[in-house]
Amino acid sequence: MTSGPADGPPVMNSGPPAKWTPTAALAGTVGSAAVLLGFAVLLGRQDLLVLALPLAVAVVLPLLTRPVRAPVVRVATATGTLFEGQVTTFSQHLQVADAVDVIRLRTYAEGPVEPADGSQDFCTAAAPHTQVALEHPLAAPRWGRSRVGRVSLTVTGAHGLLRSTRTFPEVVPVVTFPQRSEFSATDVVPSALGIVGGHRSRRVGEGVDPAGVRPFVAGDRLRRIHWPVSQRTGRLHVTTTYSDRDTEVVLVLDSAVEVGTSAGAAAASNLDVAVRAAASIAEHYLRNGDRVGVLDLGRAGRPVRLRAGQTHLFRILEALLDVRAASVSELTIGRALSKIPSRALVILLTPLLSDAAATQAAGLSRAGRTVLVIDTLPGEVVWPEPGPWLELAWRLQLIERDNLAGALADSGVPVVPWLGSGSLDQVLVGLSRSTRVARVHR
Amino acid sequence: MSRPLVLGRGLRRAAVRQPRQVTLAGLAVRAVTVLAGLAVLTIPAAHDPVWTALTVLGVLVAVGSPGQGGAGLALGSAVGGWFAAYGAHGSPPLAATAGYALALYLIHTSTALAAAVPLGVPMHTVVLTRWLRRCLLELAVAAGLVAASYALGRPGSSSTLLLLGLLGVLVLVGVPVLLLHRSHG
Repeated sequence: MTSGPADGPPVMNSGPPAKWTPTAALAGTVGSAAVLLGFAVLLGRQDLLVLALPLAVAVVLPLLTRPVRAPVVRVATATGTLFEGQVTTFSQHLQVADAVDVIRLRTYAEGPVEPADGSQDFCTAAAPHTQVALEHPLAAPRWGRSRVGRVSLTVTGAHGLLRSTRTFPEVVPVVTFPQRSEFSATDVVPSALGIVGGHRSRRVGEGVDPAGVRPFVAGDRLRRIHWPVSQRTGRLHVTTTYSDRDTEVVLVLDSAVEVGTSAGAAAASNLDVAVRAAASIAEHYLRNGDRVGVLDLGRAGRPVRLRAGQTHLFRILEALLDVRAASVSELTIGRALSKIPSRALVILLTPLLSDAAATQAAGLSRAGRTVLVIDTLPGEVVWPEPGPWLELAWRLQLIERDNLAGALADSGVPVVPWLGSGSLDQVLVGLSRSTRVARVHR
Repeated sequence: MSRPLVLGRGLRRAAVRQPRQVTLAGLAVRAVTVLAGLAVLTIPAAHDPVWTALTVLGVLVAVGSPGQGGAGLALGSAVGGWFAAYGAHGSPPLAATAGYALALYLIHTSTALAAAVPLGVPMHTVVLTRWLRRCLLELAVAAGLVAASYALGRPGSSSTLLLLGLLGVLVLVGVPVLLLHRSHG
């Protein structure tokens, strides 16, 4: 709820005098009162004087005590960083210098945030020489960048006879990060790289998972000696393990189209699904010490480079805030995708509604990269303007989409829907196996 | 280069748009205008159809679009209706005159408030209480002046009162013009 005005401590307002314009009430009342008063005097009628005096007083008295300076407003938010679904407080600090009757405040909110109580436009009043703090809850139902402020102040003074309008350009930026689901995946990745990490690689080395038992050679650690085998064979044997390595994960977002309703937790568009999934996956792999990069195909020229660490997560989240429905040429997309390291795990988040991204994914797979496609099309798509052919066209589009998914699967690119935690496990294990088999054949 | 297909944008805007609700306070202010308009139509002993129609039109405009001068039309036509009902030298009863004066004042002040507070915009109760306080002050001053005028006698009955009345008209018109000219300067 919007808090009511509470007259604060007296303030000395030194703001400039406002420009006051007469309202329609002033001309009408002055005219009527003057006519009545004039005829009352000329015709000597007491009744006309009685009719004229309240109107005359309603003009003269307020104008003699008219305000000079209009209130000044400053805006602030309790916090500038939110997560989807969170609520913060938006404050308007009014400094009222002169007596005014009605203060109408219209606050503009650009972006996904909105006053939770619908108090973008409301009227209040305050005693002169006071400071009033008005607080409103500000909800962030969807991820993105927002700006709150640019308060338009319409002040009515002199009991409705004068009006002053002024806009305060001050805005407060509010960043809403996407809500990340509790995502976890198997530590099996198709291509473990690097020197250290949390994923089991195919190479034998320092690690935990046993790879086998082999004869002892000079340089082996004594604690790795496998005593039962050594005793049975009469020669020293040691246990070998798979080394633990990290991996590189590149999240590719297909933002060429946006379908579905983007309304916070109630409904999600494909971009909402993609951004939330990308944030969850990035957080998971970064937490495991892997290097994660993001490539938004709508802004293919500005990828988030592969880095590791928790700080990099915020860099990725910042980049995800700027995801918009946009498309660039296939040449630009191809150039950006070609820079992805050959051993990286490429996770393409796409609604599969256009050929471009799918073609590029198939191309990456043919080039030897491990590609996984996450289907981000929301379960229910409501059309803003239903037309007679729209349903048929959408059905055709869905058939084409199925064909596209089938073609991708045939070329070795698995397509999975985004289901949150654990949804990629089976696919990652399968991809790891297929990659191993492919390399053996090669 | 293919154009982006953005189908979710319109819905997103529709989803976050605030429903335009009518506030109770806004309705109450406009109800005062309507009631005052009805009083203006019913108080005079006789009714002229032209002035009545103009008054109704003025009140309707004042209620529907308070910032558009409907109150001025309603007040002007109400004055015309008063003349039409009682003639140039009539002497209406005091109660009817006081009631009519109060109705005219209420049309003016309720329309002025309605123009400042649109129908769908919520307002804090402090707006109403401060407005009512000023109304009571103005009515008290006006009542004092009316009482004083009755004590002085009929306006225009002496040259002093005639001059005083004309001076009042001059002040009434001159004060707004002077103040606004000064504030613009």
